[in-house]
Amino acid sequence: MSNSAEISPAAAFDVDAPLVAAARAGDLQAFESLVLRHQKRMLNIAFRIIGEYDDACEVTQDAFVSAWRNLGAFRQEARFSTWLTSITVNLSKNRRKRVTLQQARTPRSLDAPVRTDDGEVLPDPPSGEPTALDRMERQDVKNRVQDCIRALEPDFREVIVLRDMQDLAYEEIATALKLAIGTVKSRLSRAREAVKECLKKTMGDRS
Amino acid sequence: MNHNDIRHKLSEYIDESVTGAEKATIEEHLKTCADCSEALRELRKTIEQVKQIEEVEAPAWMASKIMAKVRDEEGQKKSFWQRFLVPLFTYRPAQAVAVLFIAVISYYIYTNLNPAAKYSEEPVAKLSQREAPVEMPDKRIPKPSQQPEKKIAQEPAFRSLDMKYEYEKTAAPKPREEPPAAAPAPAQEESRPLKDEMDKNMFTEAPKAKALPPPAMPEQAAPAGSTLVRGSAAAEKAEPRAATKAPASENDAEARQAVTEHFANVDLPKTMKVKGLSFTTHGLQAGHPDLEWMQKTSVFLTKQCEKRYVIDVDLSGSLSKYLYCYDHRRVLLLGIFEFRNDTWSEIPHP
Repeated sequence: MSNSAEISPAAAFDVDAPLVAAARAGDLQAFESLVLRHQKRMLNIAFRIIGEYDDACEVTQDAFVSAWRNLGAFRQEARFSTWLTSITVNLSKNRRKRVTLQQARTPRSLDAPVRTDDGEVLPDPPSGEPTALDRMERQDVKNRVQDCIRALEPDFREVIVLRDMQDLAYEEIATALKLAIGTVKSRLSRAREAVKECLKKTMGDRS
Repeated sequence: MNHNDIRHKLSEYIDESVTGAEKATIEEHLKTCADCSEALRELRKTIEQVKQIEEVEAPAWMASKIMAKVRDEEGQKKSFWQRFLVPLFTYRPAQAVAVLFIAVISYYIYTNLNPAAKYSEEPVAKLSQREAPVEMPDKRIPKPSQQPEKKIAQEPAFRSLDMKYEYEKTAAPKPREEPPAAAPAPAQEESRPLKDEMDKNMFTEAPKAKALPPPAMPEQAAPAGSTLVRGSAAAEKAEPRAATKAPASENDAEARQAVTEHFANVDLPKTMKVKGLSFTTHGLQAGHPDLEWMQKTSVFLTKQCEKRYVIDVDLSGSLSKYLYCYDHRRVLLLGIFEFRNDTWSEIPHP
């Protein structure tokens, strides 16, 4: 089987290994190096899963602190980055659940301005036109892609974020999300299809 | 692989994650299936667009904030070890002082708690001491074998008297407002089992006595008059009334009740608690027919008393008299007399 994506990343050399070993021995500078190396990636994963920048920043910090706390329990069966990703994804999922619940519980006036990527706009009451699509058409392609990813179910969003945005191998995704590789493959396929359909709808024939 | 399977494999095909055989099959199918070719093109474009999404930058403060939190945790860990291990090596003298201090405090508390325990026992001891002189004259007479029986009755009764004594002593300076029956209440409660027994066994006519208080009233009101007390229930009932009618005889009524209770609860031998027993309590004042001969007895002379009371006991025709001393709210049995051969003679009591 010439399956490049299924080569165990844990078996591969982990560039973080020396720093991780030093950090485990209590070397704070080594850990700081790991933070600097991975913070952007973890923040982006968190941001794409949660959808809120400030929440993503908080979750990223929590993920690193949690990693420091549990460094002793990290058995280096996976790469450090994969392990860290797993922590970040879990914390992000929890945060997103909380954020969604809060939003659902907060009473909202129908007339109150709605926050969008373009700033605050007054909600457009239902007319003959599909207003959401209208708004999307005014955005550039990138924003539309982001909106389509954001509209995905959390389980699908995770895999597409990790695979297509963070370029993780199937095996790494499976390890980080604690899923079977088959599940990762099928979820990724369906996620990509969903984004494709979403983009087709919002961009119409212009795509 | 059919058309649908191939459609679902396109995502993996793009990632080059399919096997060589699968790859060949898919490529063969793509040559003939325009739908799948179009789907593949769109999928590739979608993935390309997703990959083009720019990443957000981490705020400049992020790493330092993370490290501050980590250092904070590290500090807590260190202080944990400091708290539990470092004192073993650096603060040993302080620990020694602390242990010594605790030991001294413990000893102080121990020595101060012990007397408290002693005090709680003291009234009982005092009472038996006070009684001792009265019992002395009787020592020449052999003690009767009913001692164990009495002990059972005495124990709670002594306690009840102690409680009463302590309670009333503190309340004494104030003019008494409440009915006297209120004060002896604890004493009555303590002796409840015995009383219940008595009510059942011997005072079958007690309800009758309750029902006819009016004839007794004038007698109680008169300071020199003797009061007929028939059973404890009647005594309880009669006293408060006497008090409300004649406040002057309040102390007398109270004393009489105390004496009567002491007799019924402490001194009355169990063997006498049978049907047919009746007793009356008299104050032994000047003019009382018993005073003349009783004041000549040794038991009368050995003890100075505030007041003396006599309880006339009639056990189916066999008569006896119990002489009591009531002094400073304490009740003391001085002697027991029996009517034998037309004369009153003292009989031993423990």
